[in-house]
Amino acid sequence: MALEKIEYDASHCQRCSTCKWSHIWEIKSHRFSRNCPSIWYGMYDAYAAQGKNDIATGLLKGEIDWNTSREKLLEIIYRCPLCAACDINCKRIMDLDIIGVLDALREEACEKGHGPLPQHKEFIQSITNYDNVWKQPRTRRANWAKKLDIKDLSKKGEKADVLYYVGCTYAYKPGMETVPQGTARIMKKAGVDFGILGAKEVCCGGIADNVGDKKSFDEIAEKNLKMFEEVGAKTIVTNCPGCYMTFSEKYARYLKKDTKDLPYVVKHSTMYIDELIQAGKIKLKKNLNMRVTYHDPCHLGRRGEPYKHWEGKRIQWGLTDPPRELNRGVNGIYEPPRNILKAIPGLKLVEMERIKEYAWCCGSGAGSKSAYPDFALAVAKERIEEAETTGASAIVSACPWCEANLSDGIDACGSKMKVMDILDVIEQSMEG
Amino acid sequence: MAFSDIAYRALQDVLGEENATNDPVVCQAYSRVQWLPPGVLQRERCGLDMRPACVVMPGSTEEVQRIVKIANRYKFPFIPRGSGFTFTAFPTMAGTLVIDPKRMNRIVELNEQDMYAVIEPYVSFVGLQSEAMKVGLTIPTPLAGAHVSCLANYAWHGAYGNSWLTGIGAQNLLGFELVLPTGDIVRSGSMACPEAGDFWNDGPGPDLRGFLRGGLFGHAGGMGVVTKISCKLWQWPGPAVWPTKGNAKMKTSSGFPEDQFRWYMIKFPCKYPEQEEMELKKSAELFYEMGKAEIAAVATHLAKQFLYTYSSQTKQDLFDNMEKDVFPCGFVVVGLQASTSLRQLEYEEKVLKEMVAKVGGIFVKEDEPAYQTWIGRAANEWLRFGNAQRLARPSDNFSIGASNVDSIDMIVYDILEGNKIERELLAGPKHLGKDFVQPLSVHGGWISPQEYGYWCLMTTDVFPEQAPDQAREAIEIIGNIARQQIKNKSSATIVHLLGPAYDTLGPMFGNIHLIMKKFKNEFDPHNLSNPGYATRPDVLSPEELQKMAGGH
Ligand SMILES: Cc1cc2nc3c(=O)[nH]c(=O)nc-3n(C[C@H](O)[C@H](O)[C@H](O)COP(=O)(O)OP(=O)(O)OC[C@H]3O[C@@H](n4cnc5c(N)ncnc54)[C@H](O)[C@@H]3O)c2cc1C
Ligand code: SF4
Ligand code: SF4
Repeated sequence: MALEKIEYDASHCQRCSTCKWSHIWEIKSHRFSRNCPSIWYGMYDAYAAQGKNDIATGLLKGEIDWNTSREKLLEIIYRCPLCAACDINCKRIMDLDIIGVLDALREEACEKGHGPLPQHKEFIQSITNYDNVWKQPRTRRANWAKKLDIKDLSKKGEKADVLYYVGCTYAYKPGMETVPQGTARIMKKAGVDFGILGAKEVCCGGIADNVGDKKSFDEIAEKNLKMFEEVGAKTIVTNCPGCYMTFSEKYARYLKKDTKDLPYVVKHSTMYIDELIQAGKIKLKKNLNMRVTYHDPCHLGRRGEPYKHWEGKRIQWGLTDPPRELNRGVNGIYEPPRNILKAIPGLKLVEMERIKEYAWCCGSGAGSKSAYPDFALAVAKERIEEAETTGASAIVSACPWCEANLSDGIDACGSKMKVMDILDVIEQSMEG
Repeated sequence: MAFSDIAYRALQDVLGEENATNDPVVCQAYSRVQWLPPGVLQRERCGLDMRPACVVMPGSTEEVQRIVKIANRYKFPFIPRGSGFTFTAFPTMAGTLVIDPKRMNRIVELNEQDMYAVIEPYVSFVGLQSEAMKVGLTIPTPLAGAHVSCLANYAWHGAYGNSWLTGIGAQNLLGFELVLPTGDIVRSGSMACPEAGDFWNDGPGPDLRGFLRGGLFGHAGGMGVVTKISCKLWQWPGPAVWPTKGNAKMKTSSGFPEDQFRWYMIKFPCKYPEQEEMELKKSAELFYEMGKAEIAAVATHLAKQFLYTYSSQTKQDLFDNMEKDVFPCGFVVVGLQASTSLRQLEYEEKVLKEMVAKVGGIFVKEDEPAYQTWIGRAANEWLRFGNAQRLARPSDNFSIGASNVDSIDMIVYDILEGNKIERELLAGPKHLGKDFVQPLSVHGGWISPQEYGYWCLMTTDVFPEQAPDQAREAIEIIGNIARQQIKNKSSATIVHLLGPAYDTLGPMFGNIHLIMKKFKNEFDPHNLSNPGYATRPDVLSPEELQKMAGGH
């Protein structure tokens, strides 16, 4: 039973509410002091990590069960983007694996045949049928790369230093192809020897893990890991924070290894490009007279921290044997995108109140936008309202999911702001 | 007292469907609080009766009033709550309604000139402080309170990191609006007088603050629902926003300019525990001296248990630091702030140095591990709200061993007695507390002098695990300390467990509970407003209460 492994953590929540709010040093106003979108929207404590701990404990103790209120239980479990703000904030004061509890609730829902939700099943079915979440034919996966003359490493004999993994959304979503195209052009300009998997690229499977369908996830992970091995991938670069986190954290967890011991190194494109800029291989020359703010994608930020595998048990006083180092979000990918933006002449980066490991999630992660679009939209609007207070004309991000949801938020607010992918901003500054 | 469908529908009619729920899964999230032994026992004893039958979210005083009237019509108990950190905010009987204040979260007024704020129940301390700082003001800073309801804390006699300057909650409560258990509204202080401005607790209008106090433990929701308070604001010489940016790695405390704040740690080198008495008495002497000169914003004595827990980054880090003996004994911590000017700060520093020399104290040097760990990581939090939630870090549970208010001297005496009793019980045949985290559990002593030392508050904590047998041991320890304190006639013992215990222990407290009961009967004739508290022994049996009081 999935919940058993988190029994200690769920039942030792001290109900202090730290998980509902931003870090006390970070809070700059009453208005933007919240950090958990789920309870901000749902209001009742059940939607916060604290409440989910109580619910997990209640399920374990038989105080509630799936027949008690199945629909509500599913809503509480799934109307949450797994942004981990709760987890990071809680660890400031306790040593509980809160994100582990949220994951386990989803796994439990699937084990008991109640999850994932129909919208999630569609994604997973699509991966099974088409290797992507968007029900698109495999043959169109590399359409974005036409005319760019990029090596296809899935073809026999092709080799490259870097595997550029595009991900389903950038590969298929109309209008988003500029991002992989730009990335490819930038890498070419920098003289990077890279290739793609062409039509053989398979969804990373992160969504299956996020919604608790571990079986499907394991199968996808196995498939991808085999492919990475076959093409000899040592460095993987991706633009999608979801894929990045899946390869660096979820695959490590699947292999029961630390991220650092994976057979490959995975880098988000902002990390890679930041390195290229530092090494002088890329020059950002063109003046961009803009005032922008940057939205930290959760999967790149607090969830983008390298995974440290642990197997052991709780001993006296809740200490762990062997000692366990929990992720605290502090080693997420925060600086590379900021370094890049700061390196662009004329561009002024202005920060929102909730940033880095205390960033407000866009609201779309872990299947919440597909299953709960109203929730996702409200959370995005909240972020846009926060962004507006900076006086920026654009909100820049580095994630296709955040960008799509924030765009919806802008439309709903009637805001004049623009959403931009950081790669598009970089390309603009490289032109000329 | 049952909770009927008709009552539920009446609540939904008033509040709208989304603001009243009886869904058991949602209510489950309001059913347990187990960080304190009483919470552990409460859950053991009450089980699922702790799960409310219904949770409602009113959006205004009028809605609160209507909820309370429905409760009176259908005779069900109700409990108002803030964030729900404390066990008194939880039901003890089936069929209870919990009033969740999240929709009432407005800062109604922030009056810069008259230095007060009017707030609703779900305004958090940190939210209010962040707004006050923008206009050069701040608020008292409860150690566990950044995210709790400011209003619940003030009504509950909160104690603060900067209480040396501000005093406790009651001193900061300038007025309130209360929906009585019958549904009538009363207003206290100048809030009672429309157009007067909500600036003063003494009038125009009656000062009803005492009404909120069922003893030193606050009214605990037993006298209706407070829907609005006015609270005092204090000078803030610091920046308009807290000086930190993202990645607050918990490695170093966020920095303040030297011309605004300065921190000092003072030690009285001693062999512990043999010379503990000397250390505490010297600390008291220093406080008295500082009080006479009316200097400093923060002045407190912290025993090992507070130093290790509050400054811990992880559980492992805490145990490692204990292993390294980073804090070999307790320390006095002083914070000076330039409330008016840099000259004031420099003057206060000079005075402090003289006083420390006079009483034979030594300033801890910046390169000492104790300084680096405390000042580096934790000190500033005493101006922003502590991280006393970290008290639960050693064993994921903790218990207040003793808590008291008195003169500084008497508090020192109480701490010494309390620590002595704890050590004796540990060494005795029953080995009480042998499974608690040691030596933290026998090194109590948060001395928190209030209002320049005019009076003083203390707590000592013990660190059991979250298990009923250890909770019982903790309660036995508390009882033994309480008995000693009562025997010593050391004024108002606040044994945190005793909220519901006055019926049994009342005579030891001068029968104060009888007058409270009269009030309660008068204003809550059906005993609906948080009936488990504060004057009835619902949760613990009389035998247990007797035991807690050491057989008295
Ligand atoms: C580790 C730890 C350390 C602590 N340290 C401190 C400290 O240093 N200083 C301090 O002051 N406190 C401290 N506390 C106690 C606690 O945090 C505070 O009392 C806090 O104010 C509780 O706030 P809350 O919003 O959670 O209130 P709740 O727990 O929800 O409510 C507290 C009580 O007030 C009643 N109540 C709540 N709202 C209303 C209302 N609107 N009208 C009427 N009654 C109401 C409730 O019924 C309940 O009985 C500590 C607690 C812990 C666990
Ligand atoms: S911060 Fe952690 S311990 Fe506190 S209520 Fe949230 S989950 Fe529980
Ligand atoms: S993961 Fe995010 S939305 Fe979900 S409970 Fe935690 S903070 Fe809230």
